[in-house]
Amino acid sequence: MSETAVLAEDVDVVYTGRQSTKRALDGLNLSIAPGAVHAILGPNGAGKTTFIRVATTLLIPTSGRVFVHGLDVVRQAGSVRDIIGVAGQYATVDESLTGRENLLLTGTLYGLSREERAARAVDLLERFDLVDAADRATKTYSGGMRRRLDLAASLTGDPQVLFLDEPTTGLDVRTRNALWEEVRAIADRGVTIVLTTQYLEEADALASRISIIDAGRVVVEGTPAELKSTVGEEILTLKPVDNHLLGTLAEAVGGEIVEGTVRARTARHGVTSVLETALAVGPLSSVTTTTASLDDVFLAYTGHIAEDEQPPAPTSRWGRRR
Amino acid sequence: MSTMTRPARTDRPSRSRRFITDTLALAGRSLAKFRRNPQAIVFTIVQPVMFVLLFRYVFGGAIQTPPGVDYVNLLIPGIVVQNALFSAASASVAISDDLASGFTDRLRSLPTARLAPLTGRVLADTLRAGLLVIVIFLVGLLVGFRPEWGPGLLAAWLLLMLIAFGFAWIAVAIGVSVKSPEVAQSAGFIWIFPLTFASSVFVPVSTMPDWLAWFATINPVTQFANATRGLVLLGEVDSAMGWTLLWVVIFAVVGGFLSIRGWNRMTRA
Ligand SMILES: Nc1ncnc2c1ncn2[C@@H]1O[C@H](COP(=O)(O)OP(=O)(O)OP(=O)(O)O)[C@@H](O)[C@H]1O
Ligand SMILES: [Mg+2]
Repeated sequence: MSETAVLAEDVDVVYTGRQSTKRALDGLNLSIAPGAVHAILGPNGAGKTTFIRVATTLLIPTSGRVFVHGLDVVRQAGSVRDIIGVAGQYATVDESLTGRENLLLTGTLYGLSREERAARAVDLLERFDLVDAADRATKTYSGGMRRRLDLAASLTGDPQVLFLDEPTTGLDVRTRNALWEEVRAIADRGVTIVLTTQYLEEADALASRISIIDAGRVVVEGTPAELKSTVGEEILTLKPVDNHLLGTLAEAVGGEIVEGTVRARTARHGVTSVLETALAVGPLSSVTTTTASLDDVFLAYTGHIAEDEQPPAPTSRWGRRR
Repeated sequence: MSTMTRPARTDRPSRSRRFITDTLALAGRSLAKFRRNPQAIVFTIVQPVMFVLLFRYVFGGAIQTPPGVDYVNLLIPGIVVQNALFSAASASVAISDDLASGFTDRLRSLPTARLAPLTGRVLADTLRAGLLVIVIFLVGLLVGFRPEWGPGLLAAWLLLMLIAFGFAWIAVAIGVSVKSPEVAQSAGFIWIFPLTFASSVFVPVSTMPDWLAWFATINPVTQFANATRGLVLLGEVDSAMGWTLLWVVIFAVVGGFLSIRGWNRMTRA
């Protein structure tokens, strides 16, 4: 068990509200190796945040168990907290404190001595390029700076496992790329990173393994390359002249209907046979072929397209509840 | 590159040490937040000063006092009680804000002493109440408040912090149970007005209609105000002091229990 950095066994989480209950995790199983960068990829509401909350001791699962380096997140929550770091979906720094004060406070709460936490704060401020802003209240920080400070704070305790919940949601491309670099640098130091994302591109860019989750369970897992190869190498997007034939066409070629087209997957040499089948159904107004991306993997396993657009940043300065 | 996994720290201070350091660190954070928010400072200080001026100069003349007693001497020990309660009540909004912002999540994912976010908050609000009481006493002296007994003033100051401490636990219990800071804002403050106005804080209970006088007599705020007056005006400890201490214990115990229960429930789905 201790060779696994994070192990989740049949985790169920059922939220019970007054009128309704919601099964957010439904028999989730995961095993993450030490030193890996593991992406948990899923659409809105898939249960990503819920899993992070369970693994970081914030939420007790309805059933099932999660271990971090062999420590049970429920029964040994205190020891788990010693070895993890968390940066939530929204930056959770204290707005009225300065960057340095935020790091010092976190250091105190990790039980570091005065000298240790001062040194750690200086080191992290340098690493995350926040030296100039160190003694300014964080309410004056930009979104990107806040994320960096949040990430820095999550490293104060020198964690063995770092959980990042949608670390780049709401950031512009340049800031996002800079953050990716930070994440890679952290991984290079041997820290296991578990990150959730809605962006296939992000999982592809950062992760050595990807688990795709949908409706609270893992639907497929593998390296980015494995996942791409399982769906076939070529994707054909077929548009029939007669829109009424979409259903028949999809059935004939074994593809899905997406925005008025049928998407079919095939191996590199299967393109002509798919086309023949398609033409037997009816004439086509357009055909495009593309090499499979993680988007297609996602579609193939979850039955819907991942959100492509960046959702707007949270409206309240403080982010949103839970 | 450099470090691979390393063993968990073994040189941690003891649990009770951690509890104290974490409580102090989080209380320090709350006070720093307050210090840097000019709006909050103005609100907390200007409002009581306005109350003092309003009641001293506008309504004061119309309020009957026992013969030989200056209204301002009754007013100031009453207003400090009201403000100790206000100060304590702000804990509900602050707790709720931290929950909404995700700051609490961060604290709970750190090896922080489990209850330190609550005790830190209560400590901060108790100290803030102490500060506010000093300000009001000083303003009171400027407008003619004349305590009879110096040491009684000091004792009253400690008593008021104790009252704030008890109420802060009620406020924390409200903060951990409500769904949003907006609800905390109303739920946390709404009860203070009836409680302080239907009491002996501003007017002698004897001038109220019977039903109200009945409520005002059993109202703990009346006991708080009377106990404070006993200390600063007469240098005397009477039955009001007994009731005050009893109420403080009840508030702290019930509030503390509900706070801790609500806090522990947060890990449940
Ligand atoms: N506190 C809660 N009470 C009730 N239902 C909840 C609660 N938190 C989340 N849910 C529901 O559980 C499901 C999973 O939510 P979760 O936040 O884990 O998804 P997510 O994958 O993180 O989504 P997103 O990409 O939007 O952040 C959703 O349907 C959500 O509405
Ligand atoms: Mg989420």
